[in-house]
Amino acid sequence: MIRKFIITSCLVLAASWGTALPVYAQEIDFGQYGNYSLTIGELNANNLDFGQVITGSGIYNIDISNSKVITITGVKYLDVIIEVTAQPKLYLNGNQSYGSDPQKSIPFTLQAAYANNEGTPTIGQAKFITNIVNNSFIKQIPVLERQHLPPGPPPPPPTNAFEQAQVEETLYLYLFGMIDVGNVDAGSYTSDIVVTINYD
Amino acid sequence: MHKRFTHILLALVIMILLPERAPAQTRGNNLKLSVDVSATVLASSIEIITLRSINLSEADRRGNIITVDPASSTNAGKMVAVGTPYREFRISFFRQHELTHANSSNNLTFYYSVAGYKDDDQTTAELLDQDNRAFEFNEEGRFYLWVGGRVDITNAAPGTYQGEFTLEIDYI
Repeated sequence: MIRKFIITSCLVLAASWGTALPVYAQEIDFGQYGNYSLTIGELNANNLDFGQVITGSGIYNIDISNSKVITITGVKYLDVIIEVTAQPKLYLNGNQSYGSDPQKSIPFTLQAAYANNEGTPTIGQAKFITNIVNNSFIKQIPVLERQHLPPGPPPPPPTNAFEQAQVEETLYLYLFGMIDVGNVDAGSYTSDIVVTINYD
Repeated sequence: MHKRFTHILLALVIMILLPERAPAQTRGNNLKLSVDVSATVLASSIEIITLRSINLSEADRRGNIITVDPASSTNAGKMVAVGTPYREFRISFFRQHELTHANSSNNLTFYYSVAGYKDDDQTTAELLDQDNRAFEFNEEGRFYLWVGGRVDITNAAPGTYQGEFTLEIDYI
């Protein structure tokens, strides 16, 4: 009796795999059907700090070499969707109600780039993200840049025999930007950037 | 062989039916991270501009003492301090300084006095005393200072005397 039950279950599962996968034009979202995990971290512990600036002194830049670096580790054959949203300004004492007060807020322009070359990502291989609108963007990025080969077979769904660590790579997301310091009150100005990451 | 195959399939079914393990905080899917952006704004440095030097004239002489009242005399020197609007600051200055004769080694001792006000109105200026209390820049970031003092010319040789007046202003 039990033998028959097992065989039936396997056949049902195999059938569902064969028919339930949605197939878009040349894209299959394997991330939806496998239990693949992502790991994010911070390569540098410090936040995006423009340091001490003088009131009324204009533009201050943080470039990519001093950026905040987010590490994203995942299955190298898959794409991730990165959504980044930053506040338009830094606010005195972090109080967003000062957003309309030019003496208590500082305009902030977000810039970003990513590197997903094989091995350790480098700034030299970074690709700048250009379509940032209102300090926000959504970007689909391969965990590992295409190696100029046809895409390989999808990784097998996780089983006892599957070790994701063997097919992982890490991509770097660089966050940086500029502020424009007008005649604002002296003090501490802060805001934040929210980064959300999913498999495609 | 047949029995082992059965066991493997049974394990597979059991595994699929087990609930998923919850991911660790930075591992899983749909991960979120927040990055702080910050800057510390410093007030601009204070600039002091000399508008007029002190003029020691006979009109202010009484006996051998020449006195220039900084709160009223038109011969008082005038300066303006420029900084961040509405910021508080303190002023300090050397009250006594040597004036040097242009063509000899004769000196005169000058005792300075200073009056100040946030607007360009000498008649309302307040004498700065030893209390050295806090003052405040006006809405344009300015504070006006008039410099006077007194000097005893009993032993002064005729000629031109020159000296410097040093004033220090710091934000509080």
